[in-house]
Amino acid sequence: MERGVSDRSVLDAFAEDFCKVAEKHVKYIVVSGYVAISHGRFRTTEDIDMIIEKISFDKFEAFHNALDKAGFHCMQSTKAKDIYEYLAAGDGIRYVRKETFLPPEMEIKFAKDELDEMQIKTRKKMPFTGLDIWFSSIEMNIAFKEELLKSPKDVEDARHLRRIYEDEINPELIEEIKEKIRILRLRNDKR
Amino acid sequence: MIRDKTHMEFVDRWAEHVMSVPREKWKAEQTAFINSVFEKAGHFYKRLEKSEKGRGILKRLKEERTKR
Repeated sequence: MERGVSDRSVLDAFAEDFCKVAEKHVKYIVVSGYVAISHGRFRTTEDIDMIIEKISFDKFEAFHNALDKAGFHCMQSTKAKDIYEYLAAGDGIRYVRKETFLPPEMEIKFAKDELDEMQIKTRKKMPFTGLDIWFSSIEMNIAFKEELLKSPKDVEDARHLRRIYEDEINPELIEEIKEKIRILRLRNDKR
Repeated sequence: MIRDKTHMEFVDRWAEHVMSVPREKWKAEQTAFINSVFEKAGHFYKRLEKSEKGRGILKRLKEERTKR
């Protein structure tokens, strides 16, 4: 049976509406907390994290204009040029629905290294969630949460994902990703 | 870092529940919880709009969120 709009949470509706626009302009992935939440974890969040491939200013401007038309606005600025500078500097930009300045919000960052590029390359849609959204793989999310992020919330998210995908996850792959995190992130900075 | 044993036990019990019922069921339960949190916050901010002090707090909050 087709899923109705009414069973979408505020977060699901926000994420799907946003990703529908993103899909037309850029290769993206949703990562971190919302991945666990969309798999049923019993918690909420104020922000959804999105990583996008590095794109030119022209491409970004078209993306930003489409978001504006779809009812989203950027918290940092209304000018695409200013917003692009944040992205290019490695900072996150945040979009909320136009009628508010309050969450939920989408925090977007450019892919910053080969790990992020790998996350985008191996992105997946997850039938379990019933959502039309590209996510980074379960192994990636578990590895980041257990090896880099490590807050109680992250450890619990990873545990939830491990339980949900008990028979499907690839433990060797998780260890390989953790090793990459140690080399690329822990010797430098945090995600 | 883990909080304590009981938190992790709840995570396991809930994951077990999610896997054992149809998506429509856990989704409805989770949606009710998530929406209530946002609704509650929405009511709080609406109340702030009603007083001068509240409007000042909202203004500062907006400025802080823009600066982040």
